[in-house]
Amino acid sequence: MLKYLSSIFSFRTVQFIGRPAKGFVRTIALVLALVGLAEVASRSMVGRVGHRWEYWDKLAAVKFEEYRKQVSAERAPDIVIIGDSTGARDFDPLSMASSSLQGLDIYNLAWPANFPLALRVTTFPLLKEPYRSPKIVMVSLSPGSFTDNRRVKEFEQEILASTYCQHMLGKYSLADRFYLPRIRNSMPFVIDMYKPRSEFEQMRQSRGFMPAEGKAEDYQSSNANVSQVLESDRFGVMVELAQLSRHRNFKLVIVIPPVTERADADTALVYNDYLRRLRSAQTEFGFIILDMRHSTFLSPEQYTDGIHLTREGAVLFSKELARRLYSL
Amino acid sequence: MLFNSLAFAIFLPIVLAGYYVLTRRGQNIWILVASLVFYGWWDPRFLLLLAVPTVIDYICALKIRRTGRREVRKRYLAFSLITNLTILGFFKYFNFFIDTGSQILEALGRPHYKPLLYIILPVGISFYTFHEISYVVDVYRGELEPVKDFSVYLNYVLYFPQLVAGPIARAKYLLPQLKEKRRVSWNNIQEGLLLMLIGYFKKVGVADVLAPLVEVRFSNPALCAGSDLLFALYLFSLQIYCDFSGYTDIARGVSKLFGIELQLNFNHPYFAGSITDFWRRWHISLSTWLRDYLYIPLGGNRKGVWKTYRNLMLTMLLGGLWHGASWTFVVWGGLHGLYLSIHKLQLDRRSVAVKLRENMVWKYLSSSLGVLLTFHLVALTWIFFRAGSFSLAWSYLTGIMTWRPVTAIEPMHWLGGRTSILLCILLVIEIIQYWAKDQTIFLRFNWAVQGAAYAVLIIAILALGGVYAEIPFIYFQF
Repeated sequence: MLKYLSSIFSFRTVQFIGRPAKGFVRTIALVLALVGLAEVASRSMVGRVGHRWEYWDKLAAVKFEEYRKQVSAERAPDIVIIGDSTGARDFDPLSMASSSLQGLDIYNLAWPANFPLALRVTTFPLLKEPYRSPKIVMVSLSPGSFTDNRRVKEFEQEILASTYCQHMLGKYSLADRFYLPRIRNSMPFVIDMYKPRSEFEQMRQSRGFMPAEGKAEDYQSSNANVSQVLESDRFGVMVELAQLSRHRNFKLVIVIPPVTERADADTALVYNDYLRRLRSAQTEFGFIILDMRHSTFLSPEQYTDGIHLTREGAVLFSKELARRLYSL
Repeated sequence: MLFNSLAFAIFLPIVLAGYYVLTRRGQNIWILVASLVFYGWWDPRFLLLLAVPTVIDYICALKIRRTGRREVRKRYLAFSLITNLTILGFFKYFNFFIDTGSQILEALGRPHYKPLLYIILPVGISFYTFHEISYVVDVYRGELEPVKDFSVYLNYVLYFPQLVAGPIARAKYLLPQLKEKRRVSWNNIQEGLLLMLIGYFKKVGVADVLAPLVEVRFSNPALCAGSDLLFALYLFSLQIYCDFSGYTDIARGVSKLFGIELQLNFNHPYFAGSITDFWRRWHISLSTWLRDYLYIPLGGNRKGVWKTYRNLMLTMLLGGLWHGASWTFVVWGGLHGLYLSIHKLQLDRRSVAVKLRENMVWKYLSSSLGVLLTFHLVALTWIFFRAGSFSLAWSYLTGIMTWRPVTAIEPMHWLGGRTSILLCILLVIEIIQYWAKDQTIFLRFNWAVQGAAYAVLIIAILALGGVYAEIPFIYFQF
């Protein structure tokens, strides 16, 4: 031992002062045993939940995983709707399938605040291999979601910060090694296995339609307080989608969602810029643009807040959309 | 490197393993290397910035000690202070002063050119600047012998558990420990592990869970109901406490594993019965620093009543500015200065109240009311601390008093089960520690109770905490 004293090494430091307090080792052993037991219990309980616990919202998990299940095993839906809340709330697949597009399988994969940068992470992978490709992809995004706006980014970030998106981006953490952190998000799905939850069932039966609950209200001017300048990076996501449509051989239909007159006036600049850029890209990629912004067949009472439709409005809008799509 | 990151989980055992097999000098070099890695993990360029004041302060302190002439000593002190404050001022306050100057010129209608610089704020610059200033000032005052061993001095400045967010360790307290031979006691290890566990619970288990609930409401106060904003304010009060005191607990715990004690920084501040009591319990290392290096040199309470109030206000205004380069932080400090002044005034005129307090019922009632009032007064100031701008702070403040039956952001009518459980555990920990006046009281419990309690904490962190987000500690930005 003495020979180390002249060097920087000394094994004296490890001769800790005193002895471990009575029970210290037993305490540590008990902690490890209890935490280990909880971890084992979690593994057995949530093992069957799959990836659903990773999502930012449990209904999003149902919607996206239901779609994943279908495109993994069976044939893909004929038409898939993707995008943000305008897509989720305004497009009713059952109304579309019961009118001009009778007999077609339509699925709504849009989600509120699934703005361009989030859309790229949450939805694009499901349109790529190894999954089956739909015949038509309809994308509905508010023109405002392409602007440099704090609120857009905040809402989008809530999705991007989810474990699902982090994993999609290849980012994993130490917590991924354990099952205990999954238990909280997994519980609704564990319960659903034994006693089906009506909201999950409703989501499956409505094929992903999420009608806006509420009556016609005054247009919230906060919706209009957006930057009027389109961000190229954000618009680039549409170009990526157009390239994907070529690669996977599906028809891309870009729908510009309907708004009330007041909302139209507030966001006219950004809408014009969006439409101009879309038309410019259209010549190269050949996608279809359905500009439904000025849908005169909808009355102001059929909007909840100027940019989203009521359930009644969504049914009307979906039928009209189906008619236009059929005529194309 | 964050305490709540995978990198730190790998880093700490390696550093400890090396530390335990080295002699004192070897330990100091080893910790120094570890501290450089810890700090350089963010951006190695920050190390260069840290090197300049560190070397200057080391030399200035030695020169101050060696020279007998007061003028020369003063010159060295001034040089050191100017260096430290210039670096801090440039990196933290340059754009703030430019913006303010520009606004004044605009208001006066003068045409002007506004220079714009994108300056990265080095992590923990406010902390280590105060840390170094206290060393040189203590040497100047003759209260401290300057350290000659450069490696010991570097360790004092760079010691990684306290480098980026404190506690702002005083040289008188830390240097002797770094000079002495160190052995690690089992007691230290137990206390260290316990403090780390409690710290992680506060940070990952509570603060990170409350963060998103608070964030959405502070960013969009116009979209929230008044009651909801009030509730979010309470939650932010808890979030910032758990975030910062959690950091300190982890820092103190890690330090104990190295056999080095760091001073207590939080002593259950929300149980304070008055605003003065609050500042004896909240961020103790900063409040004592401000007292010793600002308030007392300004004259403290020795130069009459009005100058005492002036000194209090100045100290708190600068304390506010220390936190961030924004007028909202100045208002935060100003409000605390005002509270402290009013409390001092009240203390001077309360002969009647003293008689009343002899009654036990009144004593209990008044102390409970004091805690409640102090908490609410402090919570009010957090609005300015948290809101990014005056307009948001004002919108938040008026929003609390506005009745909005329909709101875009759904109100938190009640806390979810997850948050309730976590807050209950926090409350139990706080009450036990407060009554026992001991942060490590749990070590006195029976081993089975301890084991079960620690397991509950770990399970609560993993199952209910915000383990998936490595959210930086709030005070890292200061």
